[in-house]
Amino acid sequence: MIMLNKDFINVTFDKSILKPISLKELCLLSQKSIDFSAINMKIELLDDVKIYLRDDLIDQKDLINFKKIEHKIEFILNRASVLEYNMNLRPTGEFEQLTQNNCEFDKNLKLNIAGQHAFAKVRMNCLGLAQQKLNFFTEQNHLVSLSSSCLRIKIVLLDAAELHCNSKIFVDKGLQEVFARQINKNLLLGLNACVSTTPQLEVLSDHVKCKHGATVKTLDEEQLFYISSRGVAKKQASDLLINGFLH
Amino acid sequence: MNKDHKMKTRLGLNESVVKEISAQKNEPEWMLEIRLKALNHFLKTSIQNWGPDLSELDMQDIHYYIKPVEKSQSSWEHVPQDIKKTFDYLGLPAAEQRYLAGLGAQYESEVVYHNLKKEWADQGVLFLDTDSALKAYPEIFKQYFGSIVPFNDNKFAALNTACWSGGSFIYVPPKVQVTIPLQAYFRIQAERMGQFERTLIIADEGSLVTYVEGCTAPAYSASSLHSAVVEIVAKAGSRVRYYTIQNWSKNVYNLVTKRAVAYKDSVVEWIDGNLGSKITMKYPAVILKEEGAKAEILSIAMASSFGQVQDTGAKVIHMAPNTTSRITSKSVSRSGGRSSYRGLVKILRGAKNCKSFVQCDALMLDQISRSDAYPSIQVKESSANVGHEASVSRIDDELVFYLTSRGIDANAAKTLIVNGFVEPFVKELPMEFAIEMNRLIQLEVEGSVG
Repeated sequence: MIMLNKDFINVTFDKSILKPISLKELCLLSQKSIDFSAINMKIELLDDVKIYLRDDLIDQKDLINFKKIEHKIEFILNRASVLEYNMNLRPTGEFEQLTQNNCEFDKNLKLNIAGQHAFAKVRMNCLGLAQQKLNFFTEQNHLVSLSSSCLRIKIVLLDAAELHCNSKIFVDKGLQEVFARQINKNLLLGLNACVSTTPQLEVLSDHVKCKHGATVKTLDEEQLFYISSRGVAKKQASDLLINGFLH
Repeated sequence: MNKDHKMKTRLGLNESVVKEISAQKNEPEWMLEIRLKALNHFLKTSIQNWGPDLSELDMQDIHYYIKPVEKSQSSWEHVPQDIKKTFDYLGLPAAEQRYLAGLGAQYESEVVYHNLKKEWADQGVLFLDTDSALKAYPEIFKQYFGSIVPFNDNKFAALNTACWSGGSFIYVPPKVQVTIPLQAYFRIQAERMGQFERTLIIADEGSLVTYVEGCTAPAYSASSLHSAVVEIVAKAGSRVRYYTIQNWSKNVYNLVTKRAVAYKDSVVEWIDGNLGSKITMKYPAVILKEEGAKAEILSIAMASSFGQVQDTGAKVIHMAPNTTSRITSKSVSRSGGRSSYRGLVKILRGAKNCKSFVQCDALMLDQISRSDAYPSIQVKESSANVGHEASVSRIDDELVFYLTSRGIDANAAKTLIVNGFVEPFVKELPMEFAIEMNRLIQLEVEGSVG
């Protein structure tokens, strides 16, 4: 069920779909021409619905071609619904040679978990290069007991790319058995790249388990050495490690 | 109110109050100038829009300076009877004899007692109250005062600079190792009182110093304000360890600015215990300015009554290559208290091979409490290695079950688990504090769990 409201797309799923759903096709169902650089979506999962979403609203080319990309997606999870959400953005091949690009990518993701036994699993991988700015804002709002969510953001930054990440876990008053996790892992490879990450926890109940973590690292010298000692060129070796990281 | 006070300013703060404080202390002109500049800044800036709610704090309903005695004493006998009784009750003179290299005691706005053992005084160690230091060593004082926390740093640092009084001044000459701790004890006895001590610690090259600070106040219906500024300079190869155990009564606003600068290969350790107060905002900071410097911040916060807010954290700025830091924060919230971790790890461009690890764990003991974590990581250097980890949970039922099955009753089991939770903190404390601390935790936890 899809409703279109000018620039606002409202989708409600009332039954499970076993195949992965492409978010792009979902948007195109509602309208023939859509500006994928500015998307505002609200997706609701009704009771017992299980879906697997693949976020391909933009691809590697768009990340280079657009000046500014702004995606706002809000999820509402009802009783016993399961959401799996994957985004994998990685410019490859010729793009890696790019030195001038200052695309700004805003990703705003909100998970409202409003039904018991609901579960959301979100994975976002992205590679930033040149002077790109990546802004990730996520919220995991737990409004009912017996719910869980986990969110993982993995970012590789080359050249002078910037990441600004702000992810929040909120657990409302008086809830039981809430399990929420959030992790942000960053590989900082560019000489002028920089990361600013602020994970936040706001917990108002005691019967919960909430965790968050954030790391900023560069490629492990020993791993690089191990691969190159097997006769792989250094460039390929680091590509392998980056691929592995973003997998 | 205590009629024995020698002098106190009227309620509220304005230019004449600051001038009065300065005149009372017979200060040089430049200090009054700084005070007035700071006051101006304080009145100009508004209260920060983040963090706990400070709207109940009425800045005009506070005595900014209360002088309890004529002058600081270096012999315990000469301290006035009623003040002596208070500190005797807290066990200070006994502790001084047994464990400490020196002791300072501050009562309201002034330091009433200050003494340093001869052994260290002979080696050139300076340990005196900040007011005397200004008179006795104006050069060192002028060089470092406000160099780490300038008056325009934040509203409360400005307030402190405008009406500071008391505190400790420590100078350790090069290569001198003060192996047993120096202690200062701060006590607010009057209600509606603002205590603004200023502490300055300078550890010269290759020296070592440990400083312990304890704070208490009796409970009154009207709130008091404690707003200290602590500045530490750790020169090349030195090691400074700073302990704070804060057990203010539950109506004291504790808004403190603490910052250290660490030079080449020096180590700065903040060990920070927050048990009391109504609202605490305290973020000990270390600026790692030269290569090889190391920062370690260990803190514990217990928010254990309704409306109590422990907004604590840590801040480390890596400015030089090969610097390392480690932050461990533990918090326990119960009975409607709220504890937050608010921290910052910043690695500047060019600071190569820095390592930093942040861990914050929070324990929630009931449904009405709250626990937050707001860490921030900013990295501009690709060779950095930064990790952060935070968790919030309650006492694990299985652990309690395991202990009760061994014949320990449920409450004792929970106390045991909480004690275990804060163990990384307690084990860093000097022995006599560790026992005290364990007992305090027991008191805080007892009857609340289960």
